[in-house]
Amino acid sequence: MGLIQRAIEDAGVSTICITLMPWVTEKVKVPRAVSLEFPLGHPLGKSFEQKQQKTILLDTFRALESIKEPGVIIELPYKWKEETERRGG
Amino acid sequence: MDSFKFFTEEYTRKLKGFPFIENQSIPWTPFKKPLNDSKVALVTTAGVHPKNQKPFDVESKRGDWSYREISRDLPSSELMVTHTHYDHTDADRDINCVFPIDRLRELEDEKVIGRLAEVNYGFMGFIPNPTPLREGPAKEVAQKVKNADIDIALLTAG
Repeated sequence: MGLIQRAIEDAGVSTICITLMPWVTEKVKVPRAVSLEFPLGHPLGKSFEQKQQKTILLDTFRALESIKEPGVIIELPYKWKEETERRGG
Repeated sequence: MDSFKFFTEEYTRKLKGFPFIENQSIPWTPFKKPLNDSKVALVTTAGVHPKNQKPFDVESKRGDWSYREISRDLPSSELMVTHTHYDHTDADRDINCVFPIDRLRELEDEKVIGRLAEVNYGFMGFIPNPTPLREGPAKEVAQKVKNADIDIALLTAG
């Protein structure tokens, strides 16, 4: 994923990824990323959880707007559990 | 944050031993446009492709670095996943878990984003040797995205 992201950014288009493996993303070095501690196969969270999916997208776009230097990974504050919700409420 | 929380010990060991390319420099294109005026393309390595297109070759030991074009007009029920390196049970039920195309259409309707791209892209992420991907399809898709006046590419993996 990182390699493709880098190629697109290099072509002159702003990019951001949602990563579940920031350990890898840090090595590959991408312009912008948000990370989540979710199991593989769920970058947007659980199936049919439309509200959660949309929240993650909105957070991702917010990160895109706020990151001003390359290589930043913003950790999103959601935990994987039966009902995903913001930490601390 | 723990990248390995949901992985088996074996998978973690394999991953830690994988020779990822450790790049030094990072490309950068500043994002300057208002979000609600921006055209967004979705690019995934989660193995998503239209049901009526050739599945990715998951048998190949070299991996499969081809890609599929996914039209914004294709209903998400016409998409499927071919990938053997993650559990896509949930994505099979709701593709938005890995490829949030319905949510992006809604954000377009709500005028949060300007427009969802006409063409979006699906890759299959299992590619042990990344050189052919970097020299071929990655550059090709990057140029297509640029030529389509896309302002934001959003990437997801499986």
